[in-house]
Amino acid sequence: MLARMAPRLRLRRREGLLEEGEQGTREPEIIIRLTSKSGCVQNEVRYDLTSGIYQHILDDDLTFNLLTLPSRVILRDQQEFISNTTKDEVDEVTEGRRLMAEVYRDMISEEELARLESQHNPFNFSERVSQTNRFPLRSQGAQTEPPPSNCFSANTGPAEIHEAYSEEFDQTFQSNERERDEERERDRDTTRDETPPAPAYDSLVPPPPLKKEKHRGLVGLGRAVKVVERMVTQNIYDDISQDFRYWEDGSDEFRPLEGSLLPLWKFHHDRSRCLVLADVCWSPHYTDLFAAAYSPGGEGIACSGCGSGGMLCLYTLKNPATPERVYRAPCGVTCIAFHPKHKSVVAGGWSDGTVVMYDVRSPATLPLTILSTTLTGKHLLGVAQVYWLDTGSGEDLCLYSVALDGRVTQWLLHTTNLLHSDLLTFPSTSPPPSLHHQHHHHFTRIPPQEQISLEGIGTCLAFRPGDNETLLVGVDTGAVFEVSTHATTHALTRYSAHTACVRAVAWNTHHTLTFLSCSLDWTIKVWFQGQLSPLIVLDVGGAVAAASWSPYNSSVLVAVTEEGRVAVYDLSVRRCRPLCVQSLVQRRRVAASCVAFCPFHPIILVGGEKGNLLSLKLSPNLRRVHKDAKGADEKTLREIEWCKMERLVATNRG
Amino acid sequence: MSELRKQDSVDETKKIVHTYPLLRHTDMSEEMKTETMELIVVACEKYQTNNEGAARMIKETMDKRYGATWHCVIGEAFGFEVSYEVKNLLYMFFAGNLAIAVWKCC
Repeated sequence: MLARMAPRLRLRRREGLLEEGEQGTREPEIIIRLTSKSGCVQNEVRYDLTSGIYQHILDDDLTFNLLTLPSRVILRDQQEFISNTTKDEVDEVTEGRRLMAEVYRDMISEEELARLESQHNPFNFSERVSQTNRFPLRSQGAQTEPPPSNCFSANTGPAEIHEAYSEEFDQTFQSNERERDEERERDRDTTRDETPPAPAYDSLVPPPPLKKEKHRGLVGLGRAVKVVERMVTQNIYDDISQDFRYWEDGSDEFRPLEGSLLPLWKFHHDRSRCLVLADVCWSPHYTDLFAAAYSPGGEGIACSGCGSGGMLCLYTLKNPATPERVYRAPCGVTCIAFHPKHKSVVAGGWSDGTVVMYDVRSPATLPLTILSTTLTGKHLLGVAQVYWLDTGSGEDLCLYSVALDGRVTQWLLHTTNLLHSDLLTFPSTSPPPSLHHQHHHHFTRIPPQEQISLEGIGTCLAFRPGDNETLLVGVDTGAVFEVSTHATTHALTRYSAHTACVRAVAWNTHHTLTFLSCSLDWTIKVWFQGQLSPLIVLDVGGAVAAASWSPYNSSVLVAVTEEGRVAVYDLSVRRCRPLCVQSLVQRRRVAASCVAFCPFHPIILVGGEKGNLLSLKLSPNLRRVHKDAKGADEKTLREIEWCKMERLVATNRG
Repeated sequence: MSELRKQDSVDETKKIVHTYPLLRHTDMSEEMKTETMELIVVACEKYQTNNEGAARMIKETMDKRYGATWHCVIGEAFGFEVSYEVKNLLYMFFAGNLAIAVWKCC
């Protein structure tokens, strides 16, 4: 009811308001029914406490603006209005200013006020941190630093050029003059002075080269070339080097009674193919150095173009391709030996009977040698073996040689001369021509049971280790004599060892009372000193050319035969057969002639005909040590080896 | 005696015609210097009467060896003031009457 009534009432009221202006006029009441506004509260009243009556709340305007868009259309009639309003706005600003000036007149001047007015409004200030970042676009590019430059200027002309040249010429001329003067001074000095002192026999390092101005550019070239050569050869033979150091035959574990020899490097020289390797010897000081003696063999004479001379080569394991030194000899070199103390002294024997001492530090083109001549008692036939005696320091170097002319001679190196004295003279089998021999026979006849006469021609000798007085001499008749250096005419003991020429005798390296002898009658015999029957007889199955005890194991020995086979025995393991037999060269028969154990590495060198020189590595079975020897010090090790040999002697004595 | 020799030497200098290369100034490395000098000698001996050809050969070879841009001046009498990249300048005399300046500058 209220709702229906409301429009009418309103209209009436409005009419009533209008009526106030124009009284008397009354228009007919128009009732318009509008859409219902039922949601609105109509005719709301509120009690006014002050006046104490209800007051009607007028809320006639129920419209509200959602959106107001300013009109862009300006009518022509309204132009004036707009200009008015803008003027009003400006007026408002000036009015505001005027008001402010009025208010603050006392406190602030007008200019100051204007200045303040024109300032930025501090209350409308927004912090920079509260603003979002705006990244302005920039054009980017980089420029590197220009390379540093410099300025240079010069003027040139014929005069300047000439001046420069003559100045330079004067300088060089003066320096030349000075050099010449110095040289003259030096010459005078050297003529006055003695030649540099003779080099001591101490190291293999070549003596410092004499100062020569001319060869200044080539100093050190030889050394560099040598280094490069070694690098190249070690690269080429890299697999062999690896084998030498690391390869062990794994199959040895499963075959305790067999071993193997691994061929390593072959050493040869251009001319060595038509020569026979007569002897090979390791340096006792340098772990990689050894010497090889070549002499022309039966076939070597037929070989044309290489002459009949022999040579002595020094090889090193570090450079298997070429020898370190090559010393030529007019005839074959038949034997060599390194001095045990003086590292660079090598003794050699030639096939014409000369005993030579080389200083291996000297270059091959100018060898520093001391020869025995015909006047100084050289042998008349080829030297079979040379043997250095380990003399104390301060004493003369002492060398023994045995030669095919039937003499065992002692050589003393006194300053630069070789002094000889015959230790033994073997009587020739033909009727004794010389007085000396008659004398000798005279002696043997008187006490025949005590003094044992010598016979045959010596082919090999060996001093007992640590005993410079007792030596063994093998002869071509097959006997081995034990001789003392004090008795120059007769032997102490005669071992009737073999039926053919004895090729080598060697004392055991650990047990110094046992020795071996080998012969062309296919056997190796092991002897106990003073006992006339052999302890052990080994049948190698071929003429034995050389045999040697191992330096690291008292019961191991190596033999080479003339068929070119290498046999390794370990007497403590098996006596009837070797642990290992291997041929020097595959598919061809090349006679072997010498064998040498390396004192530092588990390798042996075997040499033979046609200049063959081969290094072989022993497999673990061939250098087996006693089970107690592991980790033992040197003394106990020696004891263990001694005991091992002692046991062998004891079991075989009877 | 020494005075006599000195007089002799003076006489000799008068007679002698210098033909060897004489380095006047360089800041190149040792290796570069020797190479450049060799090149200059070769070029000047090849083009004995044609300085322009020699200069061209030197310039082009140096460009190839050490990168652009090289300049070369060969003449009997000239003056120059150049700015060059450091360690790239060589100034020498050759054959007794030629001055050669080689430098690098972009």
